[in-house]
Amino acid sequence: MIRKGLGKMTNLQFSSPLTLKQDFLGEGIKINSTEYVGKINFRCDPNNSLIFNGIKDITGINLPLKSGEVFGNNDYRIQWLGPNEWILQCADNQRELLINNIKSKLAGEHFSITDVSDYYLTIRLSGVNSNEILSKGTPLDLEKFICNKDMCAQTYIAKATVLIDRLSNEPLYDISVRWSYAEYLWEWLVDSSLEFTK
Amino acid sequence: MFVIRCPYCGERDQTEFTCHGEAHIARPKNPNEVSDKKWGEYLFFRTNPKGYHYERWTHDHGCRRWFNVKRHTVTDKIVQTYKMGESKPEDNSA
Repeated sequence: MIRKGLGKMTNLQFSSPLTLKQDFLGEGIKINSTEYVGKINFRCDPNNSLIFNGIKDITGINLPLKSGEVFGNNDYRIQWLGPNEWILQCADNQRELLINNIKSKLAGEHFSITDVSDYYLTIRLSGVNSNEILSKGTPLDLEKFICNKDMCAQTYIAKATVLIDRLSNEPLYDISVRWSYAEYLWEWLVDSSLEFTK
Repeated sequence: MFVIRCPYCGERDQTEFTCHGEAHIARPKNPNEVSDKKWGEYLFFRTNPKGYHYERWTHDHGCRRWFNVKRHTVTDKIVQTYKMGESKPEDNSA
């Protein structure tokens, strides 16, 4: 990717479509990008107690089994994607360790594990007007599916498929979006927030 | 807004879903021994009912799971959604 003002070539590996974006600040709305987080896609049969307990031993948290549930502690965060699919979030430098731990702990069991950290970028939306802005582009019932802390939902915003994760009871959302859609979604969110600038 | 109930996620907007045609079509177990006519019927022939139609849908912009839908072709009303592998609900329209 060639971009004006990107800086030295040595920085390329740390650049993303959001690298040069300035945080957007409006009245009751803030849009910023977050630091890289390790994202591991994990699939298994949720009724397999050996796997279920294995994940609990490694991360300290259970796999959420209810639709839209998120469990987290200081080191990990597990988002429900489907009845047999989750995203395990960890610190960027812990990815390999986590994958290797799970692979060795659950050796011989039937599961799949994929490092998808580089597929997604995360845009953070916060402030009292967040819901107002989200509802311009998503058909999701925000009052029902992501009304409280630790709830997530996959849906779309404008034309981009996203995973929205609510981090707090105050409006604070982490929106995971495909790398290639990140700039589009960023611009769309900023555009939708313009009415909240002074 | 037209709402569809995903068996896994709950009620979501129709634009998150895609229909993939008729459900409960079993592939013949012995394709080599099946006559061309039978095979053609399996591949290409579909029911076209005025009434309840059983369809396969996916929740593309949600959990990405497949599930089945019982929909009325005249009123477009979806009366039931159920998971893959569950038995076909009865057609009590007649």
